[in-house]
Amino acid sequence: MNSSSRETSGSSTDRLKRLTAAPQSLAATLRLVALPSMGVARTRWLLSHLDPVEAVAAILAGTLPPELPAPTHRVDRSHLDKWRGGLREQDVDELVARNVGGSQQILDAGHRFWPFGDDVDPPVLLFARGRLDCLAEPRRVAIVGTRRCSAIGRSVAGEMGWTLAEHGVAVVSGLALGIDGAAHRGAGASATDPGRIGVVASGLDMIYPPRNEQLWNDVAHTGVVISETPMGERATRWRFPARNRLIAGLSELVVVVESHERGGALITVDEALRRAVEVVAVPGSVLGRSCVGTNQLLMDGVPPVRNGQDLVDVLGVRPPEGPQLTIPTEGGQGSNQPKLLLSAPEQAILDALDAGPVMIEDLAKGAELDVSETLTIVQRLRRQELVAIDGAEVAIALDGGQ
Amino acid sequence: MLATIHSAVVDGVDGIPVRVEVDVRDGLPAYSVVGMPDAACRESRDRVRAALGNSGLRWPQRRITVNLAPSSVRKQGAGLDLPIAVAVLVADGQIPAEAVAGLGMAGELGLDGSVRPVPGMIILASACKGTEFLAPIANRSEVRRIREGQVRVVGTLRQLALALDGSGPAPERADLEPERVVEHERAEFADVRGQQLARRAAEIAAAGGHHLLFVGPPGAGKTMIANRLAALLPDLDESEALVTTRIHSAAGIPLPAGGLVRRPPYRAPHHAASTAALIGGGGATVRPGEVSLAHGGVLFLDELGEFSVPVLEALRQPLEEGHIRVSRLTGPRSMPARFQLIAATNPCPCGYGVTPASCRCNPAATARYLRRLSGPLLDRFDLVVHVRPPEAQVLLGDGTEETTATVAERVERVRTLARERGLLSNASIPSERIDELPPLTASGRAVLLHAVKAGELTGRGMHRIRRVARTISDLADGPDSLDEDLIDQALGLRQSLQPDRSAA
Repeated sequence: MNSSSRETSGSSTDRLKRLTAAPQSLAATLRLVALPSMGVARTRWLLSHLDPVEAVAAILAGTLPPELPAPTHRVDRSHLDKWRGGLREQDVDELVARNVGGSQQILDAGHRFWPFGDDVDPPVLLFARGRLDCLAEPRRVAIVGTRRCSAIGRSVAGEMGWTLAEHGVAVVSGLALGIDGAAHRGAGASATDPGRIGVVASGLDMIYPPRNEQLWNDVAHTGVVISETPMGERATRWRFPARNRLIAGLSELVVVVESHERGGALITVDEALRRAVEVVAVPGSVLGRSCVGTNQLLMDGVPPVRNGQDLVDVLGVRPPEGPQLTIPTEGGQGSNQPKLLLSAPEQAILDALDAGPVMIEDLAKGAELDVSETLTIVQRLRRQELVAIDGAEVAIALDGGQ
Repeated sequence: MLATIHSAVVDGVDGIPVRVEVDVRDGLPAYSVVGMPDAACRESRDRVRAALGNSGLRWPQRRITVNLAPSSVRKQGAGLDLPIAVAVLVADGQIPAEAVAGLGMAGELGLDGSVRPVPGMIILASACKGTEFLAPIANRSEVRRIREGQVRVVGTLRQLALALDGSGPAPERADLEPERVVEHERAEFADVRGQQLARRAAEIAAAGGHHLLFVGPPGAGKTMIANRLAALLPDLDESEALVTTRIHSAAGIPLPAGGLVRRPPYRAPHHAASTAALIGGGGATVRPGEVSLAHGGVLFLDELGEFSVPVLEALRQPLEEGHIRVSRLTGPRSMPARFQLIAATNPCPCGYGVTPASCRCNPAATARYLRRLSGPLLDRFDLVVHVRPPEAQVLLGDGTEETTATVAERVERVRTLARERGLLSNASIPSERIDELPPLTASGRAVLLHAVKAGELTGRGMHRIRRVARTISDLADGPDSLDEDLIDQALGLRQSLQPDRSAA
């Protein structure tokens, strides 16, 4: 206790006072969480019998009190040494200043927006950036899936995200490439979006993947991005499954849009089942590699959903202002967009794309045009953002850019 | 006594005249060669001595000194065997000196006295000083076109010695044999089944001389199409054919019957090729690399992403300038290297990224894979198309695809149009004439501007799109100004390796 109070200077205490009635305790917890090899299980074990300030003191003294129960995870001398070294090197003021300030906040179980009140495996601390009140949204639904998804999966995720947001449901996802990003982009396109919740594995200042920087900042601005990893730390491998458990813990329903035979989305499903959170999945082509996992879920008895409307039915929600949906302008759902005046071959191509992404040559065959003509028309439709090209495939454009 | 014979050696695709001086005088029997000979050249003693013996001639048991002048040039290969042997005979008095005045020659000797061909004979024959030149009979078709009436061919050393002695008939003139008209077999374009898009791209590339990149999994037939593309190109004209022949001759590649490389060459180096193999290199003397061997034809690089980065970057200079500069020990060389680049790459490490949902690659790995292909290199491709393996029923069905002959006729017509405009091909429309040769309609201009604003095109890319659109228009006897449809089609044939943002 004494060593800790000596090291915690006035300025960081002041900073933390604004967050909690017990700044010393929060500072000590933050120090513990920021240690190497200190996962949530080990932290909880330490804090099960010691208060954080005592735990810091005990580690610094090098002797853990004998009344501590046997650890759930392996803890030996080398961990203690590592932690002690870590604590000695910590600059507490810097650590606090880095994690608290601006739109950057720390939540603990006592915080009024703490969303993991009765979770079976809650985090010890939560780092957040953005609108904390989003965490208190009554309806929260996770849309998850593979990073390597098909254009169909992407568009389905986008449409579901948008429809949920239109009905005032907060969309929870992992800010990854593929399905996650598409779901959040879709939700962001809605005018009635209550605020998206992005759950990430890295520290909030270590944007990963870099390609999603814009989306990340967008969510942190209009919604909230949370992580149980302190600032400045990269997402190590084990942090992703841990992140998935938070996604499941935050949501009343987990929607899996596309998943390969194995993948993070299936870990989210396991975590959801552990918490008795309902899981639904989107059926996919029996030939698509990116649908193997989701189709297996359906075989295992998970209920299918096809689109946002199905989700709305499952949830039993109504749109905030009356039943009337606003027609999205740019960046909404393609099929709801006001149809432009299209020539017959243009319409033929769009029709041929209804079934999903198609290669140029098959498209030409389907629309009964020659390849050159097809190229010209696809290019023209692409300019109007009605179709998009990915690899060799042409697909209906859905989210109209980022 | 001293004797001098003219000869030459090859360096890159140029010949360097060499004087072979032989001095034979009394003393202990000895033989020394001076003037920077390489190993093959130094070994000439044993070949010459045996050849003389087996031709019924005498190897002088005296002190023989061979000087290869100028001594600053490294002499390579066995082509100096013949002049050395003849000079030895003259210096020894077995052949009268007047008989070899103004005579040049090159050829390797067999131990039996036969005169054998050497690489680069067409270059040697042009570079050699003197009023007449003797070439090995096996190189006849190659040298028949140069130095009219001055080139003769010999089969054996004995035949030559008798002729020079005055006791045998003079060697035959190379150009007296009638030229054999050779119909070159062309690979059949109709073999490319299905693949409408790839066929279309290949036709446009052939017609306009545009660089083309295929993106597709293994087994999509990229190599086959590239090979057929070369078959669509028209024959080289006389002067181009001579340049290409010189390069092939210098590299020792067997020349086609008729001696002249009339068909545009097709070169497909493996991706493990070194920079020297690709752009040319060697020690003191330079051997033409694949870019030069493909001069006038097609350079096909399969698995573009697997080539080392320095190799790929080295391609940029010849792509711009049409020749390659190689710096070596003895100074820089320049060799012709105007080729059409056809390349193929997988869309990602697993190869199945053409249809994104079946790709097994980590997105970061795919990004890393594509990063090997630098922007500047990708920007030089006029056409980029995705291909995939054709379906089995297409392969088994009756082909209804157009044949080489049909398509080649259209290609030829577009090439002729380009020549009438004073160009090699549409791909080489210079930027200062770009506004005049294919003027844009208002709608065409708007479409181009849209693409540039959307970040899909660089300034260079915009010119490339206009040249391709010109070719598309020429192929269809289309309008002289480029409208929206033509530009759209050209844009559609330059597909991005990255997904559209609205698909991401």
